[in-house]
Amino acid sequence: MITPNLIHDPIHGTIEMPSFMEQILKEKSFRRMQFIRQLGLKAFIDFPNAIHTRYSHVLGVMHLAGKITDRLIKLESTGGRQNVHDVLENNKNNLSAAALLHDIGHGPFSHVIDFILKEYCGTDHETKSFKFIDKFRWMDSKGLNTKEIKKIIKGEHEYKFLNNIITGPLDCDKMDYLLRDSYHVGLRYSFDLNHFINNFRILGGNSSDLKSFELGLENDITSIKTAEIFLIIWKNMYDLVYYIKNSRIAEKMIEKSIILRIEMDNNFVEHLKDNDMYLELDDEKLLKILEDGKDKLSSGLARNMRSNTLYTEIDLKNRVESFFPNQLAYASFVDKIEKKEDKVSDDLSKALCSKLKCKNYEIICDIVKSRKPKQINLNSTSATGDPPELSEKSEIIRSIKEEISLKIYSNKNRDAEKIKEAIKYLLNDYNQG
Amino acid sequence: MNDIELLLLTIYYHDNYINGRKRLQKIVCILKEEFGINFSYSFKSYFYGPYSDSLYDTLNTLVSSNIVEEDIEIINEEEEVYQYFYKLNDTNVIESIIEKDVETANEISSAINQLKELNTSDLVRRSKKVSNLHSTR
Repeated sequence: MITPNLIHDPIHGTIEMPSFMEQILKEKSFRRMQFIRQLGLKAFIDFPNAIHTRYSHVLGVMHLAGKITDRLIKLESTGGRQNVHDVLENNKNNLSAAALLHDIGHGPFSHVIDFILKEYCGTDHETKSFKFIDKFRWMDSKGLNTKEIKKIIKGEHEYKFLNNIITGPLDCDKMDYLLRDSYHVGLRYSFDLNHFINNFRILGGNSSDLKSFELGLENDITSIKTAEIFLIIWKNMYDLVYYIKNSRIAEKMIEKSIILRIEMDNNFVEHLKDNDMYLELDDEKLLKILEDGKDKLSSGLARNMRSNTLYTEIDLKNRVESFFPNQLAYASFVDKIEKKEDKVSDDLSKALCSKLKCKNYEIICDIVKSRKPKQINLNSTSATGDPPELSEKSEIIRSIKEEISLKIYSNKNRDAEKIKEAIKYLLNDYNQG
Repeated sequence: MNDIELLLLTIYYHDNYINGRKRLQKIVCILKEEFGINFSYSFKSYFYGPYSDSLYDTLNTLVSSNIVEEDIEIINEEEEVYQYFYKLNDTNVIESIIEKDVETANEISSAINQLKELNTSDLVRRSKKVSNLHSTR
């Protein structure tokens, strides 16, 4: 007998939809995630069999949020911190809802659209999510607090350890997408999720201020080794999947197709700004709209992406720092562009095309920043008085370094030396600006 | 001066040696909130004191560009207590930074002189006090 609130899942086995959230299954804004691929354009280019959706991902995140919260509640009920226990218990349903709804505002080809939303629409996927959540008036009658849910999604709940469950270095979002994405692309990592979660702890030191407590890990060898495996998977997934070359090129082509379309067609941006029109957009519909556009460059980029006729990478054979007069200038540039890599890449693309006298976006610049794991603290107070960090105890985690690379993609072969010269000028000009 | 330059001066004036990432976080928070040094970071208050993700990122940038050395020292081998420390790989870079804004450099130097002998508990208290005062702005 099929039970509607039990969902079979290749990653977590069975996911139970809590009764207070069953109504969400009927909401258009939620169901729309069934038509948006979790891996975006990577699922069209490099991983055609990874057709899992944002929908399956958020169900997984909700499942994990429940698991983590239950585990922490159990620990605190036996560990003697009644106040921590009560905060978790009182917010358990809000946490489940936050996990389920945290991606509801994502557009098709998510990270491409994110940049466009910020740059051309004055909004972002989080703000879109909150607009959709505000329409779920039934949530109050189910004992849910939409204000608290939105705070958790934004990472601004007054109890920081609640935020950490949904967004932080040990969050359930990360856990689900790493395991789900690796499964669907065919990477067989062996990772004991239950063991990992069993080592989560709410850290508060000797403080009595509950709002300053955070989610961390137990300070023992098994906890540290399990966390190492998790972070190696995380690093590997970025190197092998999320930043894979052809998909990255395709993403940039679609991003530029959208930008050109916005510039040429005043009506197009309404598809992104207007929430009702935004709800109609999924992967296929957006591609079709772009392909049918009148601007040849914009529609050409979209059609070429669909037919896998991608730009090629021009190998500059230079590390980015070599374009700067010294290490300090390079470090200042990297710091300046923090969280603005897409915007700076776009400005650089336009400036480079102008300098080399070619049409806009015939050459595309792409600043790619590899990531370093965020700080994870351990359940102990060291001789210094501060909790020790996971990376202080793990050489493997310390060896994960941050790197920046500048990729150049073009519709045809070009003189790499001319491009290098132009890039050097433009980067230093930007840095002094 | 940008955050990079202010951070380099902070490490330099702290006898070119800061032990502990969290210690650095607390010092920068106090420099900003109590002494008015123009760091752009915003801090969240945790049980161990203030923390800024952006400051963490700047530090990583300095380490990955080999301007700052990051390494681990053993505080207690038996209890496996380790701690990061930070120092500039080449202090020659400081002269050009100071020349840009001598007044700010002197302010940082003077502030650090008051802070560098403080232990962790005193730093936590002081950083929490200033970050609480300013969180109502």
